[in-house]
Amino acid sequence: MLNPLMLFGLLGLTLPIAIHLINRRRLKPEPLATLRFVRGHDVANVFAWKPRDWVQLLMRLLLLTVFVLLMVRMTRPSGRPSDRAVMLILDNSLSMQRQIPAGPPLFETLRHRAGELIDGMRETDKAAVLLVGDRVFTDTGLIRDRAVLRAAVDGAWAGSGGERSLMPAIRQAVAELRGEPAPDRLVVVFSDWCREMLDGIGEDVELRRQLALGGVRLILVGRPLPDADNVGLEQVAFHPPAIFVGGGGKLTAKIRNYGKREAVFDIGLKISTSEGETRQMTLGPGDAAHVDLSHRFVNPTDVAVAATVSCGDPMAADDCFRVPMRIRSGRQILIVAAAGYQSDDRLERGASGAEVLGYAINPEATLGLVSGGHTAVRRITPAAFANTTLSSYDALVFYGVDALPDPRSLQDVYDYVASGKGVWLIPDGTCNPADFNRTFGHLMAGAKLGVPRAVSTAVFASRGESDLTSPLLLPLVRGEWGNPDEIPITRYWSVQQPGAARRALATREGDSLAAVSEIGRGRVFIQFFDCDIRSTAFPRGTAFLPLVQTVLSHLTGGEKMPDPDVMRAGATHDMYLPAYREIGGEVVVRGPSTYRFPVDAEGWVRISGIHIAGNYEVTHPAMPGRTRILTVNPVTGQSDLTPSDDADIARVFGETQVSRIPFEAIAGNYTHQREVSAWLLSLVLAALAAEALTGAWQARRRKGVRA
Amino acid sequence: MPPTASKPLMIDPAMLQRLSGIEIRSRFLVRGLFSSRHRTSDFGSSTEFIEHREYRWGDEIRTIDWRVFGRSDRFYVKVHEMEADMRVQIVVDTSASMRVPPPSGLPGKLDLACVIAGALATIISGQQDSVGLFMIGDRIDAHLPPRQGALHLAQIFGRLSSPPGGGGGTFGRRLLEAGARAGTRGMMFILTDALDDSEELSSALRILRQRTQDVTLVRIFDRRELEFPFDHMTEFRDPETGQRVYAEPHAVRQSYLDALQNHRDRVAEICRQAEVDLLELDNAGDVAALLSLHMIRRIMAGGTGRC
Repeated sequence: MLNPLMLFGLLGLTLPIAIHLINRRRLKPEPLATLRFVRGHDVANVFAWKPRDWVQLLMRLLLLTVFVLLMVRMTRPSGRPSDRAVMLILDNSLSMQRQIPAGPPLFETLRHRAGELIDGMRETDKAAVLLVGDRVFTDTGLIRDRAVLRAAVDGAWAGSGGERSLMPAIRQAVAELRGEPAPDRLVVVFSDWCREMLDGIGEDVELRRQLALGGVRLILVGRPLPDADNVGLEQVAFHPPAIFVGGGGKLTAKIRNYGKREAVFDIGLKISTSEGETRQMTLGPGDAAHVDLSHRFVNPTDVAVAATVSCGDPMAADDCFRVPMRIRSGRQILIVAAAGYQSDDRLERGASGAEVLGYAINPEATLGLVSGGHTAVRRITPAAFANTTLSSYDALVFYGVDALPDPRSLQDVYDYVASGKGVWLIPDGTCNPADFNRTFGHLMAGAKLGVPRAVSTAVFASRGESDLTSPLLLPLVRGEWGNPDEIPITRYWSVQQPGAARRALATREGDSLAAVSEIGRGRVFIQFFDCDIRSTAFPRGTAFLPLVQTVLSHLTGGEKMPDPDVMRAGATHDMYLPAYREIGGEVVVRGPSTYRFPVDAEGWVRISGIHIAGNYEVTHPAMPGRTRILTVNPVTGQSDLTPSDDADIARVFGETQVSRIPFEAIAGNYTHQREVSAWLLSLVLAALAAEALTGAWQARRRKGVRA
Repeated sequence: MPPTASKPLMIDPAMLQRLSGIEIRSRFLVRGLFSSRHRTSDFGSSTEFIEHREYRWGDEIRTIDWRVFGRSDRFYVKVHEMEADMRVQIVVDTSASMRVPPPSGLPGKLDLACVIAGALATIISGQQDSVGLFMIGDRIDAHLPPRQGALHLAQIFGRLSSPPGGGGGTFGRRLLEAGARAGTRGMMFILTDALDDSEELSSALRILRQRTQDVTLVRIFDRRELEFPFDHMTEFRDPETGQRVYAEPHAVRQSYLDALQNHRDRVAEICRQAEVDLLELDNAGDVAALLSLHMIRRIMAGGTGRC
């Protein structure tokens, strides 16, 4: 019985029975002078529960029954093997890359088995090869051409994704085979059938229903694999995602022991081809740990960094996680300060305001920080300003400068700021406010410097946020960088006119201490107190360094870190490539395989459909010299190698028409059946003829009765 | 002989021959225009002597009994019973129920009614009586007032050959209207299947009787109505209302026959109470024999002599 669903057609037997019972067939209206005496036997009595024409009814029932049996496609045992229709489904998810003991990877083994199955096909057999992971990668359709099928199997590959499409593909294959005429219809699935995979699938009611009714058998190939230990990297991230040349970065890896025994392994960094920091770890069964590894990047080119685990487990595919590191060129800051600051013998060497500021601008040099920005600071006098190329600097700092000798310099500074750069203005005690306003007034958005204020009792920065119109220094006000009450200021400049500049910091008395203005695309930060330790104890506090770095970041465009170009296999990632914004066309993504993706007008590229983990180079044919690195990593949820048992299989697939057998046993699952359609067809014709004859006989008999 | 077709009404001469010996007389007193042989409620010049009475001014001189004058020297006149012709109204029900197609080989009910009406008209006309005709469907579709003569008889036959009408269900009410037009003291033959509401028919017959009409109800059935010979599931259609009823004849036959018999009994009771003569015929019977027998039975029974 190849199509048992058609047995529902037997319900159609009620039709002739009802017709013969209802007895409304070909009723000829019979006029009767009055119906008053037939009262009570109206339409409701159309059902005369007295069957008539028994012979014709039996013929019709026989005809319908035989027809239904024909539709059911009944089979009978035969000496020869039946014609087959086989759908081979190869799971290419990440877990198929596991190594089986003393053998090749599982995927290769099963691929080889599938090839053998195709080689054993007869001319009349039909087969289809489906390579399925997160989507269906290959589908040959049901064909008889063994060469095409063999090529599909030979070209199959193991991916780094999941098996989201496996169950839909099995369901589709079962549904497709239900319409096939071959008596022997099999869906053969090559997968590892780990418990984690089946847990992810859940009970498939629709598939169980189709299997129960469709006459298609589902064969899950493979014995349960031995339980194996495995250590896998779940997630790896670099901080910061982009780094300046010479800067250092911290890699955080989340690693888990999926095995049932304690695992001892090495985790290390691999930067391109060279080895980085390595550490040995021990993890208990089921435990997870976060590991920090650091590396300093001295090479100015982008590089792919990989965290690797060396433990010799059978699942090597999840032992490596790749992260791209973007290297940024250094930041150049120009400090313009009076020459006297360099030789102020009244102060400890290096303690003048400009020097303190210079150290704070380049903290890694001063403090020996591992991470952070790599900044070069150059210091000149106002006299040398006219001969300086401003475009090579990311920001200018005017410390204690109230005039520039060359009048053209004023316009240069304005153009410099308007083009998107930043200027930091710090008047000190030597400045003349009138000169300062004349020189930098066009940068201060209408704000004007007033008279200097030297107070005997120090003032402190206000904690009130309501007076501030710029959020730039809110972390300072909120005490995130240290206690603001420990920052006494004894000398600062009053503000004669606030203008349109936004206040960023104020004293408790309400005087402005810092303001921000914007000129064109650039920004200006005005600090109304200097950094001289004779004016304030600010440089000695913990908040000074964050303040300097925050202001510099603000002036140099925010330094927003781009999202790292790292993705999981099969996922979608939007990659920002501003260099290709004006070019359009397609970028080429080269790695373990090659892809092409279009660039939109804003420079975004949507990367999707990459199912093999590895490092990929993203280039544009129009700009072959510029390359970005994209790393694709394996998906999660494939690392637990705990094998499933029969109960797990039964829970998902049910027990009807489903068998989990080793490959060698497939041959024994072929049936030896033949359809009896010819016999049934003859029976249908005979029943038709009998029904027609009976009908004619009935009609004649009825006519005779009437006569 | 379908009455619906415009063909001349054909009456079997053999049937007329068998009916020729029958005299149609009213059981009650009649009133007519011409002197004839039917007793009337008036006094006249027939041979039937009633009484002597004193002469009153205006009496005809010739009615004075001179023998009594010779003996008593007083004027007495002889009063004789009046004999006149009889006005006979024939009422034919032409509703749709009368037009139900008959079984093959049998005449339809309306055909039979028209033939009987024609035969009665011929006989009545032959008796030198006046005969009129009503044809009633769901209204009075045709009315010929009672007259004598061959020309009038031809007109009656013309109407009977193509009886107008249709519809139905209101025969009792229409009969009352016809009775009002027919006047009093006459004879009326009503040819119908009387399958309508028996109460309306009862009311009409009583009023007709009050109008001193001698009414004979000739009830005509189709043989299938009496036997209900259907054997398969059948869709029955009421020709008057169009109503359709599906029924299994085996299941409803007995109840149908019982209901019909009840109705027949009820109509017979109505006729008895209203002193209406009832004759039931069906299209498979010998109409001439039944009519003859009925008329003979009427003569033998005699009239009540009442008004």
